[in-house]
Amino acid sequence: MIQATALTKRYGPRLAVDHADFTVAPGKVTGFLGPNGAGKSTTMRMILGLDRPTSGSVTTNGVPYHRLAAPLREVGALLDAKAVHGGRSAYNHLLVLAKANGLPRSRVDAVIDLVGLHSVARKRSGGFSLGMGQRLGIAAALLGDPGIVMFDEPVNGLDPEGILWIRNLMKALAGEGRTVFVSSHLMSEMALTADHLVVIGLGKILADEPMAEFIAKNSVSYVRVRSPRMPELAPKLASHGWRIEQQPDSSVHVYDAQPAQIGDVAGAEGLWLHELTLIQSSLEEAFMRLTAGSVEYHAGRSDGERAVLDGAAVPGWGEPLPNRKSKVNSQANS
Amino acid sequence: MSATTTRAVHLSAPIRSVTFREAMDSEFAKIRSVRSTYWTLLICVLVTVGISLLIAAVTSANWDSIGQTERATMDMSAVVAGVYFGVLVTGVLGVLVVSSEYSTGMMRTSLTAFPRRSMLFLAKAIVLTLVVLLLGVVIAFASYAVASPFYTKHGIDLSLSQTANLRALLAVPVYLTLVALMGLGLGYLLRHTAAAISSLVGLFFVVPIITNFLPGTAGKDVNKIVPSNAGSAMMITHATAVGDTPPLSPVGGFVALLVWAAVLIVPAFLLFRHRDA
Repeated sequence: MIQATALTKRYGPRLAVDHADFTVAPGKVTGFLGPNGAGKSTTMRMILGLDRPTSGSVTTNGVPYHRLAAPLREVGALLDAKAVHGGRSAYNHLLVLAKANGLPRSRVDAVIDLVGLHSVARKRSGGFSLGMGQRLGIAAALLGDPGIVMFDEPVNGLDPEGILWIRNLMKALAGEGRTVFVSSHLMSEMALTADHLVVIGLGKILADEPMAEFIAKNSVSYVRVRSPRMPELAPKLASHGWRIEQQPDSSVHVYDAQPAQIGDVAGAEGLWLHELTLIQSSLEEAFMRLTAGSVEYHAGRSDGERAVLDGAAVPGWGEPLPNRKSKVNSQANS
Repeated sequence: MSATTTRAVHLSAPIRSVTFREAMDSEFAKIRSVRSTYWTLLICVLVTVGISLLIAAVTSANWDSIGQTERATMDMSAVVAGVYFGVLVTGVLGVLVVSSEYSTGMMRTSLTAFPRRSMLFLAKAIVLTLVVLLLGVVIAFASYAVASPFYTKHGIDLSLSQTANLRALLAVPVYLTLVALMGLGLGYLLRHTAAAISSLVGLFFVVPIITNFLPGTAGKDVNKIVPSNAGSAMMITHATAVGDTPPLSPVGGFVALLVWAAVLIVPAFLLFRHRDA
């Protein structure tokens, strides 16, 4: 269990993390999603007691990190795969950490086998590829068999096999009842692994909800309709209670209706159609809209109000972004 | 490895609170497991013993051309003359022990494993102290073994049964250690290898040149307490130095150097406890 209360970090004039409140619960993978520079890493560093919050607090298992009896037994973290002395072998790196928490040498061998670094364990870690470095970082995180694990952008720079391995590992760890907190700037990655989502943008928590809820709320779909008889068709569609938006390109976006229903209405009236397409915006777009809202908000005003959380209130919500192609029948919500 | 299970590696031992002992164990494991430690120690031995030997051999070969006043200053400090350069190497070791952790990001990993910063700081300082003290003793006696015969054959009394001689020889590990701790302090303060090493070199080789030119007796007094002169004073047994201003007493030199180390270590400690890592 990780709990942040009004967690704030200020670097000079910039608020890196702004009164963040969230809870990361055990037994599931919680995704920590935000664009680069949103405050994900700063938040994680504060969780680990590396950076001191300007105000507010964050606890792991109910206490500040530095109060944990044996930190590696309770929290395992992969912040930066390269946070390793390159002149030290993988084995010795893990041994140094094991000794710092009084863990037996057998743990070092166990986690080396777990991450599959056995053949290079005695080599200097400076020569490791990014993927090997990530595995070493994960081995370090699992060294003390902790109940909480945190990974900062774990799939960055990994090959497909490595990505799959990490995804499965995170799910397995959560399945064992551990608290799994993983950051990413890729919605698509989170959609595949996370059960719960905490979205951060410019230091503010923009969403904190179950993945399913986020998908339901944010995967906006509508039907694009073109018809030469639109002036007659539109009132008929509206009479069914469906929301209609006239587009500049003479098409119409119909919300809350299925293509078949629209086709039935048009057919019954003898009004023919030139297009009838179901458009489902991807979660990636939903995420971009959510965080773009916080960006716009900050660029426009500076009165410490909270960013608009409700997606529907963000200007342009419900419409695909101008330069972004909507994916038809997006597969993102697996 | 595609079959992902973590079940097999569960740890059943009860959670035991970490203590200072774990910090020490970890720091020893760190200093033992990088090559730079061994290189630095080896270079320190070679530089100190080698230069001591070289100076002794050259001095002995030119003994006849050395004046009476200068001969009178020949004591243990001449036998271990190489330590003048050796301290820089242990100072660099002190810097590296810290700055390498900052430059690689290892410090964040270290603090994640052991977040009690005061203990971690102390453990690192103690491990460095123990390693350099041991190295210093080896260097002192090795230098004595190879260099002292060149002086004793000219009638200089370097017998270790003389308390003053033994004290001067044992000042070598103390001097090396205090400078290593100065390096450690600089490493924490600057967190950057090149900056910390440059500062250390400046303190030992540039500051004395400047203070040497300070006018008046106040200038001479300042010149006495710069780290290199304070350190040298610890190894002198005959207080009859060349020139009109005698150096600090051995104890005075020790105290001056202790103050130097404290001036760097104390702010380093306070900053380390509070700074973002």
